[in-house]
This record gives sequence, structure tokens and C-alpha cells, in this order.
Amino acid sequence: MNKQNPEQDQPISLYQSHAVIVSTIIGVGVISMQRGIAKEVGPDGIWTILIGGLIVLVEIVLITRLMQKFPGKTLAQFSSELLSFGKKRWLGKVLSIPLLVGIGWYWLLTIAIVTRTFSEVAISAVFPQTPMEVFMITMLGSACFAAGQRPELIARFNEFLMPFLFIPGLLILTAWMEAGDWENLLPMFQVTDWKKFLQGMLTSAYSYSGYSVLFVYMAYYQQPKKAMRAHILATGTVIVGYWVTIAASISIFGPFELANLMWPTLDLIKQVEVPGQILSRLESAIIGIWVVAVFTTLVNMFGVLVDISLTTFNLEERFRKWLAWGSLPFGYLVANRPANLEQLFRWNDLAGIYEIVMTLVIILILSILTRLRADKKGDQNASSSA
Amino acid sequence: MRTGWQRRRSRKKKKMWDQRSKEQLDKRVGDQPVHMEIERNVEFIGKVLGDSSDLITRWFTIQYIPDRRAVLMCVDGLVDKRNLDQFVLAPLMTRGEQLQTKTDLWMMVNESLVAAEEKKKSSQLKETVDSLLSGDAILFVDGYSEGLIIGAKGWEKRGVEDPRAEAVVRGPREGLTETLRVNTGMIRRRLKDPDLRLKDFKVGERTKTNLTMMFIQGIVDDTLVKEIEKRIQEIRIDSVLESGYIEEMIGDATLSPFPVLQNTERPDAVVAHLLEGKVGILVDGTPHVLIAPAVFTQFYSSPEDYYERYMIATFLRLLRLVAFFIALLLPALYIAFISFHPEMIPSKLAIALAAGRSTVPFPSIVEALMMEMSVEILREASIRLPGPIGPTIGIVGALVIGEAAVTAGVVSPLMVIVVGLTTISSYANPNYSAAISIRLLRFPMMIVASILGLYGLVIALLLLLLHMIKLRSFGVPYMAPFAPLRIKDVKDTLIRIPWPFMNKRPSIFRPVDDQREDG
Amino acid sequence: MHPLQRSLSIILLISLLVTGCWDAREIEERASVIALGVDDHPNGIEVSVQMPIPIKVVSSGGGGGGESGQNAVQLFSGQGKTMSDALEDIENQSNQRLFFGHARVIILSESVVRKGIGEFLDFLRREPEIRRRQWPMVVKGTAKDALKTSPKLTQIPMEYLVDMVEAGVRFGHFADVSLGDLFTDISNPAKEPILNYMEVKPYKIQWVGLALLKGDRLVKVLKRKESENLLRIRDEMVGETWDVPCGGDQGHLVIFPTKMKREIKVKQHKDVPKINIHLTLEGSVSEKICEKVELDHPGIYSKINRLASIFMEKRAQQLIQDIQKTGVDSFSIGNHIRAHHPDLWKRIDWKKVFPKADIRVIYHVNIRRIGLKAK
Repeated sequence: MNKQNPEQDQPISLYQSHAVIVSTIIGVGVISMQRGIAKEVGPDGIWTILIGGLIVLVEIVLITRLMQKFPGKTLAQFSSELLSFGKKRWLGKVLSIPLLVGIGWYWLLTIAIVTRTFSEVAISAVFPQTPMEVFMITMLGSACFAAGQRPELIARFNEFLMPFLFIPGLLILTAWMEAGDWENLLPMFQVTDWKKFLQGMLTSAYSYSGYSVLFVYMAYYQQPKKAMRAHILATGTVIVGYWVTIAASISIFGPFELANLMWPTLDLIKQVEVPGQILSRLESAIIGIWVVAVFTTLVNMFGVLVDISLTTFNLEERFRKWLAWGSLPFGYLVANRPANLEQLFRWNDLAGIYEIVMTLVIILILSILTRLRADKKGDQNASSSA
Repeated sequence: MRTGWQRRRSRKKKKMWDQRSKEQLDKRVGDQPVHMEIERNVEFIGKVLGDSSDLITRWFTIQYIPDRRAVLMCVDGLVDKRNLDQFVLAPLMTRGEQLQTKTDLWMMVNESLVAAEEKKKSSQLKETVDSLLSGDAILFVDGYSEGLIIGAKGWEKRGVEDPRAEAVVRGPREGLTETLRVNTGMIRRRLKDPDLRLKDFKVGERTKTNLTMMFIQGIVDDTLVKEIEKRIQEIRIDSVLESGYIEEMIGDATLSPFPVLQNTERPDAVVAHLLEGKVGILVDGTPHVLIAPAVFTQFYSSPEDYYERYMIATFLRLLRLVAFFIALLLPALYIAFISFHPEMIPSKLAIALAAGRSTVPFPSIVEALMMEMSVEILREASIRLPGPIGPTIGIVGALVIGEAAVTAGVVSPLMVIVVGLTTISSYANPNYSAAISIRLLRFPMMIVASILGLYGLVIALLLLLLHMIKLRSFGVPYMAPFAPLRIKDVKDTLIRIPWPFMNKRPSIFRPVDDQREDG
Repeated sequence: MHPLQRSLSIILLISLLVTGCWDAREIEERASVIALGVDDHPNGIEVSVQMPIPIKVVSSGGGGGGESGQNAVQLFSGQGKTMSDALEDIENQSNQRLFFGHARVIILSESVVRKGIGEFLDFLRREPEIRRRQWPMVVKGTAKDALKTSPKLTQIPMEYLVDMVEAGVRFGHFADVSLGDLFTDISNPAKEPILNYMEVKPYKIQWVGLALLKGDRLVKVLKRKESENLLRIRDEMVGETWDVPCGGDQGHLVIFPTKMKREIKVKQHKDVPKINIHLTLEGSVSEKICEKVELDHPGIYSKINRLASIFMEKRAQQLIQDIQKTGVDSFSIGNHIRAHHPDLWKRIDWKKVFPKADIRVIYHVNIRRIGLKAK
């Protein structure tokens, strides 16, 4: 296509793919998901979070299987190929656009929600006087720098930062050991209201949003054939991380108090006493580290959005930066839309359903088409050999 | 990756330079052959050099043929005059049997009379001028259209001394010198590998500096050698006075604060790098050898790490990492804690801090900038201060200013501690050029922390990290082996494993032969 | 970096510099509150805050320690209908805005807690500066008086209180109730909160027992000797030493408990459950003031064990009866039933059942050692 870019000889390794999945999914969800889950299912949240994780795992497996059939191609490239009939390539392009816009809209929406949620937390916990625009602009602007780079580089960025995501995990474990009360985790399996349990399961599943970035990143893998294990492992890592967070929260606060906390993870960290008393409170520090988690989510989403636009319109590499900066105002505008926290949470839930459904629709359509094509090819081969 | 801007600039410059140097050549020396009449040669060289006062022209008569005049030319200060007298002038001027034919004389002069190891016949005046300027003597004999270039280089040079900037407790005390050949010799002496290759270049239109590229054939990646060669050949500049010129001319990211080539003045370090599949670039006139490619972690290792026991080396490396973060972040963290997050400071300390700062009229950012600036100035000044009093003045100055500033209530006592720690930590870095970039980056960090506290600091760090991950040194990602992660290469980064287990060369430099042990 | 990006980032930076630093407030520009006291007031509530005076605490000039006691701090009080109102009243008196990041103690006067503390706990929950790990306590008399004491052991009076509570909690004598625990207990329908109860004395503050709350209201105050059994049953804390009369004779044996295990067994799953609480204690004899008992007699340990158990069981039974009368399940037995017997929990209304429930405390004392004296 274009001139050889030096990044192209460092394709995404399996470990990097692991990092991409983990740091995309762990983002804003981790700071407030406990409240919703505890409200609906109480101590059974430790089970729904696992079931929600399994739902997401299934989706990730499906995406991986689909993408493995088209190594080196992003969703934009192979969907237009699949949708074009005969020699009408433009038809494929046109037909693939609803799919791409559908998923692209999700990415843009998530960028906005992530930015907004982060700003809300920062303001309500540490920076009450600072205008929200400052956080939104600095967050989006910095993410833009990264999103204007090739996916390989973004993966490398994720790879380097992933270990830092485990620091809060350690703190949460410490808090659990210090202040956890096993009685709060009981009673288990008290499902009386199946509707609520289902609701809790779905809420748990939303908190794992972001896996659809695989539609793009997998195209840049070094060994897409071997990706399945890495993906399952990565999802497993996230599930374990979420499980620890939610189990520690329920164990420390109990399901009743948890429903009262706006940002439970922050309160969880407030509970930690640092040995040696070097720092007496950790909320600000944890917001600092949490920035990393949010930032990687944002960068990955943003990078995907930019890359898919680039591949859809078959643009040159140098437009990547322009696309990133060009999409910034849209993200900012959407992020400003929710009028208050209540709406923001509703948007978040809606975006969660939207991703699950949209991903399934894309997988379904494209898998069926792939099967049809394969049959056709098989027929042709059969006829030609005959 | 060289940026588009850089490439455009270099293309434009190359065109300009080609044209200019060609004109210069025509105007001044041209393609003149050596003339039979030696007076014309002497006159010509004199004109080219503008009758410089250090040009020595010695007329004499060769005794083998009556009245056969000859001339020896050399530049004063560049040649060893005693050698010339003894082995060139003396044999030629001694009276001997007279010869009959002209051809015999020139052959005899060349082969048996002039007793020098290095000599070369030349028929181009340009060549003779060049070698004259690089310290050779030239002999013209009347009636022959050839000159004899006699290697008689000999000038005052510094002896081998301790490497100043890279002192170690354990390890060789020998540092490289300003003379290229001495340096290559020192390296060869440590590396008796027949595969060690040297490639010579001349860079700088006017300085005509000798530059030697060193690598070990069979270990080094060939594409790397070709790339460096190409970049050296693309250099268009009039002067190269130090390897820093080369570093900026061939480095990948000129605009980055981070060095993408390492420099060292220790021959043992050069050998160690060559053995890892890197290329050394030696420049005449400076003891600092460039090593390419360079990754970030190698700026935090000292040659001594490989000589001390591995546990100590690992401990020291981790210590340097801590020092790196202190040097980069401590003042910024101070600002963030003082003006944004005082709840993070333990209560008792917080009260003490508030008391210390209650007399300070400025916000913490101004206080910190003031102190950091004055320490930087002090540090710079103490380098310039003459000889032995420099360090003393530096320490006394710091103590006096710090103490006085606290008493006067201009800064808080903790700020003095912060500044002191930062300064000391930045000295813990074994590499001067990397340390200096951290000193520089500290200031933007402080400003960001004063605007948005820890959040701003983290964002700035993320952007810095993004830049470092994007950076490449001759194709090798700068943050390797961490991003991209190469688990096997981590053995010699933050930690150093014992030598018996270090049986592979780091794979990030793509060595052809990656086994350290035989077989 | 791309030139465009560069210029954009520079513009961003400059605009940030120009617009100022919103949340930047230097440490000396914050009036750090170290302790908060809440009292009753005809107009609503009266809030008092203790703020250290930094230069007084750390004497300038580097010489010895600064001043201490009430000289090192300043007390501010403000009145208002709500917590925010009262705090704003204080801010109108102090030179800087209040900062609660370092608040470690919240003192509530008994009369306020009797009326209910839910209203101003809401403020503490919403305010991000307030720590969850700080010590709320009930004080006899007014909180303002408590803040006015000047103990001599520490420079800042309230640091003394913090140290005292933390030490008491570590040795298992005081209730381990931080502000966060108070929030959690109040929101848990199966739990009732307790608080430490203090009394102000000249130059000091003394822990005198526990305050039992029903929801956010104080209903009963326990004395020191009564508290230990509550703490053992509720929080598995070892409690203080206790003296056992030596078998009808005059004189006492003092037992120092070192290790403690609690087990709650719910026997009958009928409408009125039968609950057995087994307390297994390990301890040592720390003092003996009776002539007859010789500690080197064979079998004497089990005798002491029995004696100590019976003595303590009686005391515990008395406490349970007393508390059952108030109808407040301060033992958190309800939470145990909720967690371990969810069916029973759903069937009965524990709050109504608790006063009628048959609760029995069974002590298993195990004397391990008797100190350095052999007899």
C-alpha cells in the first residue's frame, strides 16, 4: 500500500494482545460497577460478575474465530469484501457502511462516556473547583496524540502500562485483608427474584465493555492463529480482577452500604492504611493510577475509531493524525451531552447493551456470509476439478 | 524514524553542499597534476595555503646527481621533525656515488633512501595538499612529475588518563584519548577478534575529520551497518569537532530530549557494546565514542555493573532507577502534595510543613522553580570555576544559599531537602547526557503539577512515555526490551544475572550470532 | 511530534497557565481541622473544630518543641440548622477555608446522639475530604468541652485522643468503630452500631464504656465492666482482664485473656430461636491474691477454668438480659442469622424476636500459663 512504516515490522505480539484486551476493558467500569450489582443482587454479585464475564468471553471467542479467517484485515476491509457481490466492489463498500457506522458509533459513544465519567469522578473526589472541561480536554487531547499513531505502537504502549493496572488490585487486596468481613459475603445463592438476577447479570456484563476493539487490533497481529489462548487468558485476567474488586467491596462494606456509595472503589481505597504511614490517604494517588487505566481504554477506543476510518476510506498513513484530531470535537460534544450523573449512568448501561447486540449482529451477518462464500468456493472448486 | 521535516531539510542541504564544495575545489586546487618543475609545485601549494607561516619548505640538493634540486614540505607542529631529519633529509643529502639515469634516482629515493614506513607516490597536487594538512611530509624532486607523501605524523598529544565522566571503583582506569589511532589500538588490544572491522570516513568539508566505524562482522546485523554507513555518508557539514556533531546528524530523533546514541570514553565499554552487536563510531579529536543503537535502559547501567558481583550490580541498578524517579519527579510531587493533595501527607508532617511554609510568600511552584533554578546555576557555575575550588564553591554555595534562604523565609526547609535530594539523585546516573535530559524534563513536570496536581503529572508522564515508546534508535524501539517485551533480554536491564547464565546476546539488537558461549 | 500537535499542546498549556489553577490551595492556605465536635444548640446544632496553629506547634528558629495543649490549637464554634450551615458559620470566623483532610476525631455529645445523628452523617458521607478511617465517639457533657481539654502528653490535644483510641483498639479494649464502620453498621438492617463512650476529666479524657445505638440514636450506655462481654460477642475482641473470686474465699485471681474465638450456634429454627454463643478464651493468670489456691497443685488449672467460666457466664447473661430489655441487638447476632441462616432470617422479624430470644453464653476458658511465679 504505502511506504513501509517502521512500525510494521513490530506487529502485535500475543502478550501485547493480552495487554490490549485487559487495558481496554478495565477502565471506568471498575470504579462504580459494584453499586449497581449490589443493588440488584446483593452478595450474589460475586457470581453474577463471573457469569457476566462468561458472556463477554463467548463474544470474544466468536470475534476471534471470525477474525482468524481474515488475517491481516480489519473489520472495514473484510466486511466490504464479504458484502461485495461479483465484481461490484463499491456495493460491498456501501453495504458495509451501516455495520461500520454502527460499531463506530459505539466507539465514539464509549470515548465520550469514559471521558465524562472520569471527569465526574475527578471533580467529585479530588478537584471540586476545577471546571469539567479541563479534564475532558486534557484527557481527550492526550489520547489524541496516542490515537494518531499506528495500532502496533498503541499496543506497545498498552504493553508497557499493563503492570501498573495491577497496583490498585494489590491495594484492594490489602484493604480486603485489613477490613474484610466474611459475614458480609453471606448468604450466597439467595436467588429469589430471577428477574433481578438476570438484571444483575446484565449489569455485570456491561462493566466488561470494550472488547469490540478486537475487530481492528486483530488485523495487526503477528500470529492471529494463536490468538485464541491469549484472548481467553486476557479475559480471564479481567474477570479475576473484577471478581477481586467486587468480592472485596462486598466483604468490606456489605451489600447494603455498597448501594449507598457513589464510587465504591474510591471508598475501598480510602479504607487502606499504608504500612509505615508514608502517605496517609491514597485516593488522590489512586486517581492518578486510575488515569492510566482510563487513558489506555480511551486510547485504544480512539485508535480503533481512527484506524477503521482510515481503512474504510483507504487513506494514506499521514491522514491518521488528522483523523484523530478531527474526531476529537465529536467526542467532546457527545461527552457534554449527558445532563447529569443519572443520565450518564443510563447511557453507560445503554452503551453496554448496544455493544453486546451490535457485536453479535456483526458476527452473525459476517459468519453466515463467510459460510456461504466458502460453500460457493467449494462448489466452484468441485466443478472446476470435475 | 527520521521525521519528514528532517529528511526534507537534509535533501535540500545536500544539493547545496554538493554544488558549493565542487566550486571550491575548482577554484582552489583543481585537478592540477604534479609539475616537473618543482618551483611551480611549491609556488602552487604556497598559494593554496595562502603562504601560511607554519608551512615549512626545505630546499636541498640531492648528492647522487649533481645540482639536482629537491624540496621537502611539511606543516610545522604536525610532523615529527627529528624523524624527518634523520630518515629523509640525512640519507638524501649524504654524498654518495653519482648515478647516471634519472629513473634510477626516483626509484632509489623511493625504495632505499627514504626510510619511512608509510609513504605513497602521488601525481595529484590536491592529494598532496590534503596529506600535507593531515600531517604528512611531501618530497618533490626536480624533473619528476610525482611527489612522495611521507608519513611522519607526530604532534603533541595527551597521554592515556582516567576517564573523567565515567569513573568506576572497579574496572580499568584507562580512558580513550583524542587521537583516533590510539583509540582503535586500545580497542583492538581488548578485542583480538579477526572479525573486528574498521571502516574509515572523512566528514566535514573543511575540518576533514577522520571517522572510524567499528563493528564485529558476524555478530552485528548487516542492515544496521549499511544504515549507519548511509547516514554517515549523508552528512553535509563543514566541520566536525566532536562526536556530538555526528550524534545529532545521524540520530533518529533530533528533537527528542532523550539521547538516542550513547557516548562513552571507556574502551572496555566500547568492546562490551560491540560484543552485543552494536556499532561504535570513533571520531578523531575526541575521546567520546558513539555507540549505536542505544536503548533507554543502557543509559542506566555502568560498566562497573558487569565487574561487580551480580547482586550488587542489580541493587545498584534498582537504586539508579529510584534516583531516576526522584530526579524527575520529586519537586513535582512536592508541588502536587503541597498545593493539591495535603491530605496525603501524614498529619504531623503536614502541620510541620504548613509551619515551614507559613513565612514563604510564594506559591510552592514559584518556590520550587526558584530553588531548582538556583541549584542548576550553581551546578553550571561550579563546572566553570577554576580547578580545585570549583566543587568547594559549589557545596559551600549550596549550603549557604539554602540555609540563608530558609532563615530569610524565602523557602521552606523541606524544599531545601527536596532540591538537595533531586540534585544528588541526578548525579547517580552514570551517563551524563541522559542525566542532563532528566534535569531538563523536571521543569515541565513541575509546571504541570502546579496546574493539575497528580492528575496533570500522570498525564504528562503518559505523554512522555508515549514519546519514549515511539522513539527508535536505528530501528530498535527505545523502550525495548520492555515495550516490546522480550523476556529473555530483561536479564540485563533492571537486573543483571550472573555471567554464567548470560549465554545469549540481547535479541533486540538482532545479532547474527546470538550465542555468547562457544558451540 | 507533528508541528500542529506541538503548537496545539503549547496553546493548551498556555491557556491553562493563564486561566489559573483552580484547585491549587497551598497547605498553609488551608485551615486544617484535626477534630470535629457536634453539640446540641437551641438553633439546631453547634459544631466546634480544633485547628492546630502550625507555627506554634513547630517552634520557628529550629530550637526545641513549640507550645502544646490549648496554646497550640485554636477552637472555633459555629451554629446552624444543618452541618453545612454551622461550618459556614465557622468559615466566617477563620482566616482560611476549612480543610477536613486531616480530621481524625469526631466527638458527638451524648444529647446529640440521643436525638439522632443521621442528619449530619449525611454531610460527612458526601464530603470527599472526610476520611472513612477516623474515630467517632460519644462524650458525656458537651463536645466543645471535650475539645477544650489540654492533656499534656501530646502537643495537639486531639492527637492524644487518637493515640488513645488506636491503642485501645489494638489491645482489644475499645470498640473498633471507625467512621466507615459506623456508616456500614447504620446501613445494614441486621446490625446496630456501637460507639466508644468518653468522659471529660481535667487535663484528660477517659474511656468509660460503650454507647449502644439503635439506628442513629443512642439508647443505652454500658459501663466499662459490661462492655467487655459485648465486645467479645460482637467483634471477637479479647477484652480486659477479669478477676475471679477464689472459690467462696476472699481474694481474687486475675485472668489476662490473650486469645479469643467466638462461635454462634442457632439451635432451634422456630419462631423464637435458641442461640448459644460459645466464647473460647485463652489466657494466663496475671495476679493472685488468695492464700488457699496453690497454683502448683495438680488439676488446679481446670478448676480455675471452670470457676472463671462460671463467673463470666453469669456476668454475660446479666448483660444480655439488660440489653434485651432495650430491644437493640448490639451483639450483631442478627447479622449472623442473616448471613448463616437466611431462611430463618426471612421467616422472623428479628427486631421483634430479639428481646424474647433465648440467648445463652457459654465460656470456655483455658488458662495456659501463670506468669513467672510458679505457685
